[in-house]
Amino acid sequence: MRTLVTGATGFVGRHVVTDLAGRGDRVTAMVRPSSTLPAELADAGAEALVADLRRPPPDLASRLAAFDAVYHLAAGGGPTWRALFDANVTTTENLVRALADAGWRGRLVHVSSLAVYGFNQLPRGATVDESTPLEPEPGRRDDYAWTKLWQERVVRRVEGTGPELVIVRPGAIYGRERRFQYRLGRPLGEQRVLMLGGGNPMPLTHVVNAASLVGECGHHPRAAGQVFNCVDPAPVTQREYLRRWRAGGQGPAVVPVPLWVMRGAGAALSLAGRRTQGRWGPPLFLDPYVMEPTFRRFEFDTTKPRRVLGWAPPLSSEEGLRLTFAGGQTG
Amino acid sequence: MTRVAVLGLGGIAEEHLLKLRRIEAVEVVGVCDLSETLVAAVCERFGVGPGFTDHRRMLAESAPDAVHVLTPPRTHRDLTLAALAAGAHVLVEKPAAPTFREYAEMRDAARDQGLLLIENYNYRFMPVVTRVLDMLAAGTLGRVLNVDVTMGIPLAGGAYADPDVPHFGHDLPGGALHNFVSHPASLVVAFVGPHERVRVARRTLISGFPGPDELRALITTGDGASAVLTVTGSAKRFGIGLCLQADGGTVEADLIEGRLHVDTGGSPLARITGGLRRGAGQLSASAGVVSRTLTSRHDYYEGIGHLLTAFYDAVRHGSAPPIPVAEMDATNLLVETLLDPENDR
Repeated sequence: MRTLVTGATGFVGRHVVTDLAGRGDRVTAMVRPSSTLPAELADAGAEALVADLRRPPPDLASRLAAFDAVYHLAAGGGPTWRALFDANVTTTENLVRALADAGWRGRLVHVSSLAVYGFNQLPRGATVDESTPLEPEPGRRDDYAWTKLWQERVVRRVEGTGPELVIVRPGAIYGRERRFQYRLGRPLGEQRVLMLGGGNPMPLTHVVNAASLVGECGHHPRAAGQVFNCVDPAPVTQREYLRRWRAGGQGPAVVPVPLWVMRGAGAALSLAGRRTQGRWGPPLFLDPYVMEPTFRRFEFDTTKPRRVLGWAPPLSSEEGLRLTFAGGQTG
Repeated sequence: MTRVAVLGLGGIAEEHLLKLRRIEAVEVVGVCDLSETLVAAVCERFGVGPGFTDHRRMLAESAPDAVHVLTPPRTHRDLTLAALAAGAHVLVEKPAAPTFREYAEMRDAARDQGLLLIENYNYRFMPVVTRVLDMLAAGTLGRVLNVDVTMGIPLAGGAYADPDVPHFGHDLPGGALHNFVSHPASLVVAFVGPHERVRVARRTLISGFPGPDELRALITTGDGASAVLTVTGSAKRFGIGLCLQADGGTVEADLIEGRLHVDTGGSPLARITGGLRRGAGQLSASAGVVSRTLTSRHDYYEGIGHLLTAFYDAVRHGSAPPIPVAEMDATNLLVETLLDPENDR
């Protein structure tokens, strides 16, 4: 099977390339013109396709025709809403257009995010699964959620045109190279975390598990047309995650802040915003509509991949935490 | 209601759309960019529309009274002329055009049709700048002798350092600095007037940066005032500051923190009282930053709101435009002179 991975040099992309190579795929990694194929991907047998999806080469469509499956992980951050939009949405729009131009009929596995769900409309303690309605007001959420929602809207344009679409929505992906999670709270410099809540289960998924499910979705016949959330089965609270991090050495100092304090401040400033016709208002990190999806308590149903695909995560939560925090420090 | 159209949905469009919400009696009747998806996403996010991907259709169908031209500078001339031809006043992002010649063409077209053309010098409309200009107009500070304006931008590692999708700023005749220098130039012109002579030093400090990332200039005017203008891309965080000396006092201002210190005293006690006032001013400005941050009012782009308020007052009531044409002429001429390699010394 010939497969293409966009975003192949990123944190998750590298693991996806390794997973696919392990399945016997002939993997091509899309790398930006200014990058080179990392040695670990070359060692896994991957080849490089040089392109930046924000400004794709004119012959991209013809080059895509050779692949049986495309794994779309290209995403990014940015200092402005527009940079984030280009990194997440423009890239996807250009890929989808090139696939259409190529008349492509393979399988497209799109890596989205749990952020697309309408968490504000769910009561505290609700269970989130693949049937949970999507965010009804994307413009009120943070830029990341807004762009991930638009990314899904764009990728769904392939539906009914030939390709088989699979959407994977991972939770907070962690691993040795990425230990900090925005669901822990707010970073205060590099060595402190303002921990909000503390007792909420985090929708964590170890990067090896995420890559394994993404790879499975490109291969399993029953995955076509499906959406899968990707969350490790055993819940781990923010407090437990930070405890394990600190026990491994050099974890950040924790400044616990009761969630009700932040909620109170956010609610008061939102009220002030309404009273002053928007001249006052909460900063983004206190805006209830932005904060609640991350810090309200939810449960996450993790059964669909096992039910539909018979897939089980290769690592237990305990193994994931041990691999991430045992011994020395990276990132 | 004044009908407004926004042309170009880059990063700065958000600031224009947010500020337009707070200006009375204006209505956004159209937004336009090349990407249909981007247009739809912006319409949804800001509750504006309809969206267009062809500016000619937008001008014809939305019939705006004013158009904000926010596209990359190389497109400003054609889009501005099209908007003016459709009978709309124009607010254009800086730099108004890549060359003075193109700017002059836009200015003359606006004048011939009796419409406004205003370039967005938003930092000239920050509250501390307005206060200093008011003091100068009232004669409180006397005659300006010199002013230093320093702008620091963190260019390393950001969009301007992206080798894969080069920022449009690099494509300007003066390189990336060309996309910023209108701001300090507009402040220099506001305080000391048109330049007579300019000496410039440009250099590249950021490793691998395509073109100069720092510019320092000594500017003198016909009536004996002078200015030092600095733009550097090596700052750790964004900031603009100014120091002004007049024959009646001195001024120090931080436009972003909103800090202003004015010293007009000449008595022996002035040094002590000045120091105390400076400390109090610093504390008060810092408290202001904290309070504005927590209430979402700390806004680098506050000046856009004040400029737009004055612009729409002029559009509706025929009051004086926020920036006189002579001041825009002098600023655009200064920008072209600063970036002309002939003036590097």
